[in-house]
Amino acid sequence: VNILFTNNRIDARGGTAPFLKQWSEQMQALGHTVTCYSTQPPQARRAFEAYGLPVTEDLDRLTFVPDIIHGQHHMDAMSALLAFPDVPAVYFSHGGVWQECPPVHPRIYEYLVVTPTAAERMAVEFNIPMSSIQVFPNSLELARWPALRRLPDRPSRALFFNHRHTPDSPTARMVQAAAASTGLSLDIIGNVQERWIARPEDVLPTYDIVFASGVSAMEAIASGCAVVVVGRTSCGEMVLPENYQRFRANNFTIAVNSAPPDAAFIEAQLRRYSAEACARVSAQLRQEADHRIAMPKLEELYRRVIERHRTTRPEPRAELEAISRYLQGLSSIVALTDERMSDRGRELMGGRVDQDVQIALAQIDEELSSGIY
Amino acid sequence: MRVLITNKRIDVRGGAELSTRQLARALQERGHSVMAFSSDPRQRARHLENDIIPVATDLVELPVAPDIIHARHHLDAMTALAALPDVPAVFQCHADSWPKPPVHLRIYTYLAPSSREAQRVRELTAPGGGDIQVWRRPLDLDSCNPVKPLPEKIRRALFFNRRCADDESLVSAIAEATAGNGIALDFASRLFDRAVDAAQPLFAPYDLVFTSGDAASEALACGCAVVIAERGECGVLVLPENLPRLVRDEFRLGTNPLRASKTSVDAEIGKYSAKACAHATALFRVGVDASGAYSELVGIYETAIVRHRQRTADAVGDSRATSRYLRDIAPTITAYNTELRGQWASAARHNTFYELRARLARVEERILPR
Repeated sequence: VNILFTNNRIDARGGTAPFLKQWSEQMQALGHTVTCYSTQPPQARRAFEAYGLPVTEDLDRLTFVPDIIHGQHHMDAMSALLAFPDVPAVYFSHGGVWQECPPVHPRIYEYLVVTPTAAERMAVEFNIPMSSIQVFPNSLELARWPALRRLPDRPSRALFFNHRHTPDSPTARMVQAAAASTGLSLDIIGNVQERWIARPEDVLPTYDIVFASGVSAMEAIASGCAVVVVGRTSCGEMVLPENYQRFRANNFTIAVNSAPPDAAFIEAQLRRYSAEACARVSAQLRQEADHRIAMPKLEELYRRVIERHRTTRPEPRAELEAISRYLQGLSSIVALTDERMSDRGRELMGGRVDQDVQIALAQIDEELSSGIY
Repeated sequence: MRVLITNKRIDVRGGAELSTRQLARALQERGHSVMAFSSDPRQRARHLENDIIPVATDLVELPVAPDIIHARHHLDAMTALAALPDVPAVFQCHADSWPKPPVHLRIYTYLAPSSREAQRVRELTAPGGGDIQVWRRPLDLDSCNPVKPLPEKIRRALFFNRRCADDESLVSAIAEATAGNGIALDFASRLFDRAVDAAQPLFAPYDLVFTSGDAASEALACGCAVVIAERGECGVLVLPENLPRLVRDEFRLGTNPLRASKTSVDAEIGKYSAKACAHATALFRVGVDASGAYSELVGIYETAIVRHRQRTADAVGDSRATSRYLRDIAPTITAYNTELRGQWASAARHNTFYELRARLARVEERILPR
C-alpha cells in the first residue's frame, strides 16, 4: 500500500511529529511505501535530513499516487486530499486544538481519535457519525524501552516531566513541596526554558516516580516507573491497577478544570506508591500499548477504507460542496491573517513582512522543538 | 445577467466594501441581477443591507445560480468557485501582497487596477493563470460633488486613513504642520472611532484632506485639496501637473517615499493654491468615465461566459487548483494560529474578531519590536 501521511510539522521532536516518524517506520517495516507531507516545505527538507523520513515538498511532484492518505491537521490533510482527487483518506485527530479539527469530506471515510471523550466531541461539534469515528489509543514503540526499571520498596528519585510547566508554575511548586515533605529528590525536565531530553528512554528508567501526562506518562510507565498524572493546571492521581483503565481511556490526562494543585493531595498520592502495583501497571501497558499490536490494526483499517472507496461511486459535486464549506470555515483566521498581512503588506518590498514572519516562525520553532505543543 | 460578487467583508466601511456596493449598484442600474457573498459568517449586520442587495448565506443551497462570479478576495472567491462548479469567474485584484491571486481553471480573467499591478499579477499567476486586463472601478461622481469653492487660505483639514492610528509618526507630523499653519485638523476612520459611510458628507466640509487611494480620488472629486499620505509617509499635494501620474499610481505613494516630517508636510501645504487645486478637481472629474468602464466590465463577463461554455467541466482540475491555493495560504495561517495559541478559533465565538485582533496586536507588540 502506498501511504501519504500529512502533518503540520514533520521536523519537530514534540507534538504529533514523533507519531509520524514511528508510524512511517512501522509501515515501512510492514512492507508499505510511505511518504510524509507538510504544507510547510522547508520542514520536509529538515525532517529528511534529521530523521531520514521519506518526505515530499510538493504534492504535484510526488512520484507515486498514494492508495490512501493518512491525514493529520486539517489544512495539510485537505491539501493532500484535493491534490489527489481519487484517493481515499482517514483523518487522525490527536487533540482538540484548531489545527486538529476534523475536515468533513466524502473521501474521508474514517476518523481516528485517542480517547472516547474526543470521539464524542468530534461527533457533537462536527456532526460526524459515531460509526465513522474510531478510538485508536496511543501506542509505543516498546523496542525503545528494553530496560524496565526495577522499583525499590521505598522511592527516592522523582522527576517532573512536562513541557507545559515552568518550575514555578503552581502545579510544579506543589509537586516540589510534596516531594520535599516525603523525602524525594525531584528533578524537573522539559519546560521551555530549562532542559529537553532527546531520548527519554535513556533518562526515564533512572527515576522511581515520574509526574507526567499523555504519551510522556506512557513512556514513563513503559520504563517501569510509577507515574502520577499531571495536567495543565493541576496534579492528579498515581496510576495504579485500580484506576489504570480509566487513565488509559483518557490518554493519561486529567481535565483542565480539575481541582487546583494541592501538596497534601499529592503527598497522599505518593503514599499510594507500591513497587509491586506499579510494576503490574507497567506490565499491563506494555502488553496493550505495543506498536506491534496497533500497527496491524491501522494497516487493516487502511485496507478496509481503500476497498470501500473502490466500491463507492465518486461524488465530485459533493466533494466541491465539502471544499466550499471547508474553505468557508477558515474565514475567521483568514480574515485575521488577511488584515495583518494587508496592513503590513505594503511594507513587503522593504522586507518587513518576511522578517516579521521569520521572527514569529523562529519563536514557534523554538517552542515546538522544546515540545511545548 | 446574474452576477455574484464576493468580498471578504460586507459589514464595514472600507475601500473594498464601498467598491463592492458601487459595483453592485452600477450593475443593477444597467439591468443586471446582483447578489453578494462573503465567507465571513458574521454578515447579518451587513453594510450592504441598506442597498437592498441580496447577500447569499449558503452558496451550496443557492436556489438561483449566477452566470458569473465577480470574485474579490481570495478565500471568498475560492469558496464560491467550489460551491458553484459550473460558474465561470473573473477575479478582481487589489494591491494586496498576501496571498498571490488564486489560480483556478474557471478564473478566466484577472482585473488589475493599473498596468503596474497587471504586471505583478502576470508574474504571480503564471503559469496557468487567466488573462489579465487593466480595469479600474470608476469613481461614482454623483456621490462626490464639490459643494463649495476652496478658500484662499486653508482653514480646515482632515486626516483620513483606516490603517494609521493616532500614534503613528505620520499623524504627529501632519498635526504639527497643520497647527503651525493655523489649520484646524480632524481625524476620521475606524481607528479614530469615526467611520463614515459616504464620501461627500465626509470630505466636503474640508479644504484639505490627507489621504490616499480611493479616498483620495473621492476627496479630490468632492473639491478638496488633497495631499497623498499613507504608511507613515507623506506624498505630494495633488496639482494639475502631477495629476496624470497620481491617477496612474492610483493615488498611492511609490516605492521608498520619504518619511513624513513637519518640514515635508509644511512644504506640501505651502504649495496650496485654491485655483490650482480646483483646476485639479475639474480635470480629474472630466477624466472619469463610469459608463464606459461598466460596459467594458460586462463585456469581460460575457467573454468569460462564452469561453466557459466552450470548455469541458474539469472537477479534478478544480480540486487540484484548490489544493494549490490551500498550500499557498496554509503556512501563513498556521503561523498566525500558532501565535494566537488557537484561541481565536472557537466555533462558538465568531463574533470576537475585534477582540482577537486586539489580542494579536498585543502579541505582535510583544514579540515583534518595531
